[in-house]
Amino acid sequence: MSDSRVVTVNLTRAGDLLQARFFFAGLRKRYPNSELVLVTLPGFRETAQLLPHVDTIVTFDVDALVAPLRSAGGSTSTALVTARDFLADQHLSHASILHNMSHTPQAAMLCAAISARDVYGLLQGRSGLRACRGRWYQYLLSTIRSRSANPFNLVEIFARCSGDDSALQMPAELKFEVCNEHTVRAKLEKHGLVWQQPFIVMIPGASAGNRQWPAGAFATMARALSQNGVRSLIVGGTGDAGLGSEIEKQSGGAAVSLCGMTTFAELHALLRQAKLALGNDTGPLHLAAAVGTPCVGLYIGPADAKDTAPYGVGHHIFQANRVDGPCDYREQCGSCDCKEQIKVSSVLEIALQVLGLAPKASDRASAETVTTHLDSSGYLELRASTSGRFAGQAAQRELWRFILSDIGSASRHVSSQDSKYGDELARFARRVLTQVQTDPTQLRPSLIDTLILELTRANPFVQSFAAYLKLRLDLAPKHPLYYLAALNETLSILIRAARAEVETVQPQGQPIVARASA
Amino acid sequence: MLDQSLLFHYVTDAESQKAIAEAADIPTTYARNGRPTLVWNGTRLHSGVNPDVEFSRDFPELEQLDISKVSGQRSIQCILLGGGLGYAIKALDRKLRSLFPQCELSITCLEHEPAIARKALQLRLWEPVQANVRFCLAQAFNQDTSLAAGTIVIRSTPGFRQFAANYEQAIHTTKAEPTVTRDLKILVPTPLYGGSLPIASYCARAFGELGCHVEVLDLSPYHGLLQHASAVTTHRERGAALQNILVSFLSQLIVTRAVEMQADLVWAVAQTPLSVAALKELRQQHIATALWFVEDWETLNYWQHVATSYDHVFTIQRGPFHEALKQLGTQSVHYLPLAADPATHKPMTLSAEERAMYGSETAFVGAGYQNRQHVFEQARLGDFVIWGNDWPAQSSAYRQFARRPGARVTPEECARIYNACAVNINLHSSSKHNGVNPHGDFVNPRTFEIAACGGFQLVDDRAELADLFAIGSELIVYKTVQELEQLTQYYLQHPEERSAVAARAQARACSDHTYAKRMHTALQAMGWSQRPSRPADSHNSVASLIDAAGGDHELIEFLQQFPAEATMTVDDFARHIYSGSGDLSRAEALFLMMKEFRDWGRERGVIA
Repeated sequence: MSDSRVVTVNLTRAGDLLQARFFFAGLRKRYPNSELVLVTLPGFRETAQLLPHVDTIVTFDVDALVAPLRSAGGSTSTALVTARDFLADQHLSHASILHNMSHTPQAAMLCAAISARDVYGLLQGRSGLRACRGRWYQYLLSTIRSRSANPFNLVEIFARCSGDDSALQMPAELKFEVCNEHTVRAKLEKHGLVWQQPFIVMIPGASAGNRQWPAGAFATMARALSQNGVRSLIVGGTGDAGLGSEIEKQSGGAAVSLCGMTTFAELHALLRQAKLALGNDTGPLHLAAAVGTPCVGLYIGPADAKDTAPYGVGHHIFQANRVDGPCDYREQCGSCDCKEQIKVSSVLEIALQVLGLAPKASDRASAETVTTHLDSSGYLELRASTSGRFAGQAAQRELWRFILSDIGSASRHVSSQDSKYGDELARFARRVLTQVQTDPTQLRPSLIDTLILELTRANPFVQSFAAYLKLRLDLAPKHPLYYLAALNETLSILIRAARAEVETVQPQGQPIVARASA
Repeated sequence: MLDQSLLFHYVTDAESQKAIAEAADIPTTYARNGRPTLVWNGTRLHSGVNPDVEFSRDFPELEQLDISKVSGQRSIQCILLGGGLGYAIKALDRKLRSLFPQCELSITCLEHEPAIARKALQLRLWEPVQANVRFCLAQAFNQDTSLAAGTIVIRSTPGFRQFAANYEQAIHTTKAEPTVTRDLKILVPTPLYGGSLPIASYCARAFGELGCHVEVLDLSPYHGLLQHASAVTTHRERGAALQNILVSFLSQLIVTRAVEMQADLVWAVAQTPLSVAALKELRQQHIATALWFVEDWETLNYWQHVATSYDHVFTIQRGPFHEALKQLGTQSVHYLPLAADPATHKPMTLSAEERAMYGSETAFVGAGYQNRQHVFEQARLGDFVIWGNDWPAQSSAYRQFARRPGARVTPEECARIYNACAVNINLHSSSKHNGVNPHGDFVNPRTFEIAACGGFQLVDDRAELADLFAIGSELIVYKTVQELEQLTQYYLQHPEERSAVAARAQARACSDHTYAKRMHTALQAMGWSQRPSRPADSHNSVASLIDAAGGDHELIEFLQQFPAEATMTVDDFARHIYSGSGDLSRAEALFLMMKEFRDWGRERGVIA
């Protein structure tokens, strides 16, 4: 059966959509002659139109579906017509492959209703039973539990979810369909600004207050840049208009707020023309990165550069961090001073360098900054200016790529850094396997929890692997047979990885599997 | 084996005891999570994966229950129709305990199949619970064992559908009280001015008392705008055109508010500006509409243009009016007399100042219609006072008796006047007569209001009056001006008799003629008291869902397994699907998807 239609459901926000561009590149490589259909929310249609390789966009209007079901006596028939009409869309029927990039139960059930031959990602079944097909999708889900240990950028995970190992090396330029330079130039002229005059774009808004750099800091930046002949344009939605005005006022007119005044097409044009994008971890920052504009990202609260740094070479990130890493998404901002950790003087220093208005910082820069680089496989490398905090990431990524891809027999280069993780893995595998052999009936989630608790003290990689394992077990139906099957499948990957590790690092030693089975 | 002591503990009637004792043992089958499950006649009654989910399930019947109506009871009786192995008993016990912590709880499980009851008693999955649990076979459930009024009936069980008719037949003799739904959202837009304006407020208050979520859309501030518009031109057609524009605008206000608050019902009293186009729009939005036409149908005839656009029409007159409405094609027509608002119309202790201000031997409150002008010019009514501002300037009666000429009297002042005056004269308006209208039928609001205030009144004879009050005992009626004069003289001289009649009238008004009573009746008439969903709920019947399925054969096939006349919610479908097994079909996934997004909307407060 030919894969004539490949449907992707992505009910997330603009930033996540933009970070999925290599995913579509991967899909295109796998299915060169198929129609690639993207299902997204109506508010993000314009964002979706930028994505490369997507042939058709279908919007799913959640409000229209939900409104008739508003109360116990709600009109099921009206909702049924809405749901039926959506599913009857000619671009969704007879889908051969379906990818679910959202991880909510609602999206999972939507995918079940679209009913494709093969579904990847989270899928909801009867009685809330879930399944998640595709190891990279499983890994993506597991990062919710082990976020601080995740060594991949979201762009990379999404790309690998496509099923193509080389997706990151595929061309994934955004389309130019939604770009309106003409009208935004006119808007700038109204403010006495000239299109060719150098300007930067500031993005002070964010989805939550605990992700925002203070308004006063943006205003100070704008004043300082203005003294260097660079104007600052503030962008955002209508909800950011108050914030934009405040910065404009505090900057004494050095910054001009366009919040709520630009269409998405105009924002696109503006970001393409800007010399720099300075802002919080948001959709516009990722759009700037995608169109090749240098970014200075301000990562505050739950925003974590390791997950969502602007993908590409030469971006700079200031990561405000508590000692134990970024906040939890659901955490309310308390007494933490992370916003103050990012100093205006440090950001200005970098901004001026990027704009070519100041010499490159010395090794003894005033604050730690993180810069982005790409390795030969297209993976993002973060380099901290004053510490080695991201040093182990490449090795961790290597191991994960080995585990999550079906390349168990392939030879690979193992650095000395990896051997430490290999030892931990071996111990973990042996422990679980021994338990399975002693009394499989006692293998209950509580036992796995206990094991994980003991092992998570070991190192971040084992922690993330344990979370991945637990997720796989949680996804399995709660029946001993299914449970063991899932565990064994996971262990086989684990052991294969561990064996490769031990054999490579300790070529004279006894393979770990032999010891574990004894 | 079934322990005999258990059988006698849980089953109290001999017929059920015998049948359950003699029933065959069903072998225990287990779900994937190792818990007992049950398939009966090919229908799965409990989940084959995780039946324990039923321990934490919800009951729509309890969600829709008007708690305030039940919580006064010392004991709560609940009847569970077709509970299968009894997982639901524990869940029900927990929910009832949280709702009625102070009450004694009793749960009766009605079971059609003796073998299922036997299995449930062998397993006793619900133990321990606080409620007094007993089992009874549906066929043995008769008058002797039937439950008291106020009983909560739970039909949302896995086993109900299979033997629904038997269960309904079994409980047919029970007198479970209808309960008014708690989550009903009602919008009450007001007229711009006039006598029906306060009635709208009274209705809204009454709906609130019944536990509905009610919003008043006060349109009286736009009265000034209407007056300005009318003053702009003397040209009749242009004036009418301006008025139409204003009505359209006000109608849109109503539609906008109704949609925004996600109203289930828009309740409009007569004179509320609601255009046919707006009513059509509300119908498209699946918002029910009701008109309470509290006017004389022969005097004010705009009902002809709007009646069929409303889903329900309530009237204060019947007979020929109802015939005329039905001839027009109005489907749902109901007689609903006016009433009193006990919060406004109540006996009051007045100060000496208030007595001086509002008191007199006899008084009349109201507008100067033709018959009133004539009667009050002729009749000798002692120390007589007229209250109200809508009188012609040339009326000699008004010039002679008006206490505050031209001044408007508020509803609160009316109540003080009814309380302060010895004899309240109540004369129904007529523009065609010079005295009492001999063909008058409906009863005006003043009749109920004076009665509820504990005031004494003499009221002109009306055809509907005898159905509402005991004439001669609760109300004294006159038919001619001469009778009015005689009765006035008599009752002014007999204060004890006056007080006795007034007290009886007050008791009657407060027990039978409040707006809360009327609105309860109206809700019942619209079908809201019997079921926790929309009136007639044609949107959710399986037949209508099959229509909505269009040409989708898979959906139709899925829906056809349910009775066409059954009313199903998304939750009902979800329960059915959860209890099934195997891979989800596309149709099943579609219904579960609707449920998932609905739940998501509720969690985020997007929907109620």
